[in-house]
Amino acid sequence: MQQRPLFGGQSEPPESASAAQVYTVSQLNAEVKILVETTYPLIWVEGEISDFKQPGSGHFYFNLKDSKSAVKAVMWKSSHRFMRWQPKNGMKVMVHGRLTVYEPQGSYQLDVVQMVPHGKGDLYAAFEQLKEKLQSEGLFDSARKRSIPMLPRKIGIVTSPTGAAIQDILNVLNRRFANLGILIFPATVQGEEAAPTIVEGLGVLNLSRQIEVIILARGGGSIEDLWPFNDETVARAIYSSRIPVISAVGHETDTTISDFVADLRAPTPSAAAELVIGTKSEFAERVRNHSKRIHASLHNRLLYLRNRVNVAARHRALAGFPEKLRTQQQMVDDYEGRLRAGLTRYHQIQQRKLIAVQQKMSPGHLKHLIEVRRSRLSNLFGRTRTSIQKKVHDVRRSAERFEAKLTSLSPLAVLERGYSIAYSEDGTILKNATQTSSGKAIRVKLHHGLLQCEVKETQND
Amino acid sequence: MTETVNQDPVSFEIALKELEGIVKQLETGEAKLEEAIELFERGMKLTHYCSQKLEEAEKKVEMLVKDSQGQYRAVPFEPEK
Repeated sequence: MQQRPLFGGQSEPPESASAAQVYTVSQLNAEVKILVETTYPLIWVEGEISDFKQPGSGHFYFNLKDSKSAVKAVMWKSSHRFMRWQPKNGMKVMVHGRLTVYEPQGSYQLDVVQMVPHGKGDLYAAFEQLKEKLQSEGLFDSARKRSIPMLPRKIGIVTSPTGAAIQDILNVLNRRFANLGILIFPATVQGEEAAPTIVEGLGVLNLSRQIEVIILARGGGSIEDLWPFNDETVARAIYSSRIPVISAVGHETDTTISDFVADLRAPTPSAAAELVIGTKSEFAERVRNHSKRIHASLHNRLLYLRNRVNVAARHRALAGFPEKLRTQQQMVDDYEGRLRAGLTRYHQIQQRKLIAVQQKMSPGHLKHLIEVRRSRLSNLFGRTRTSIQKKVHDVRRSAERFEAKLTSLSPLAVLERGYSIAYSEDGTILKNATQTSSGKAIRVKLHHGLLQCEVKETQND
Repeated sequence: MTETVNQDPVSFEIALKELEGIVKQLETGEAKLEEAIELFERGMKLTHYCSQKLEEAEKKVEMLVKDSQGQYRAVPFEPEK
């Protein structure tokens, strides 16, 4: 560089090219281009993206800046075609590229061939971005996760038919529940064509009416191998599946977007088979156990009730039943006795009258009269006896009916059916609400024990 | 209670859950005798249903393959060793 005076006259331009070189602008820019492009062939530059633009051409135009300085950058579509994430203003990135000079403008820019988020891999960034996006859309909401049926009629599996994963799943399922229906959709689980086949598989299995759960599975592999399970279309297919989906991708430490969207995440394919169904023997045992307990509890209950009824039958409160019957019987006996006595007395009176009359009358006439009277009397006696006998018979009949009724209403029969008996204070059985009134004490005999109650309210039918 | 006695449960899971409930009700002895007998009958029905469900699924491992018309068809799955 030539020295120039700070003040005063201007330096003289060289008289000839030989004294000092005079560049044309084009020459200058051409030389700078060579200088710059050879000095900075492929370099890594880190900075923050600003003024990011992606016009219709699809190329990326942006500035890369730090706190003091900025540099223009371009990333052609051909270079970012395989990028799995979208750059945004403010993102810290590392770019790999050449420094190029744009001669018409005398400007320079970075021609970026690769861009990675600062400190992280490309895939990781893509993963994080998709995760964030789907999460904000609600695809991972726990509220929408459906429960896996306990005993699915049929299990659908989307996986490679040749991998270890399907073998693991089938082995475990066969061990746990041998008579299960399983339908496999053979999917490609690696590479570019994987995502579309997985999406198709989920769709096809969703057409089945019998499949009640789907396992989406793949064995272990690198993050690139598992990449189809971080695909957005796969995530959306899982989300829109009518049938609950269990995601079982890679090893326990691998987490994919599929895992987040699925209704249930299994750490491995084998684990998915463990989660999808319990063991048949365990189910059968549970059912058997319930059945046993139901039988036992009812048996015990009936045993207990029989015992209670036997105890109750000897109870004072129920002793009233036979007592009443005895009273009735006694009344019948008494009535009969009185009728007999009355009849005898009447007979005796008639006999005495007859004798008196006999003594007064002439033997012939009297004899006739006596005969007439006697026959009348005997007739009368017979009729009276018949009517009394009938009465006695009726009373006996009603007593028998009463007894039969009591038998049918025996404490055992009544109380075993769960009825209860209410008694008023004086021990009469309440059949009608009008027999008592509010505030009165009543006793309620249950099949288990006795309740001392107070009537709160009476209601007539 | 009465209405459900004749109803078929919708799934094994629901039947088993109901069965568990019945066991609990019967064991606590809270139900009246008439109810207890109904519960018992319902319980027996559910037991039968559950056992049947456990046996009914048939063992079948199939795989979908596309036929010449491009339609999916289920064929027995032959695992490759």
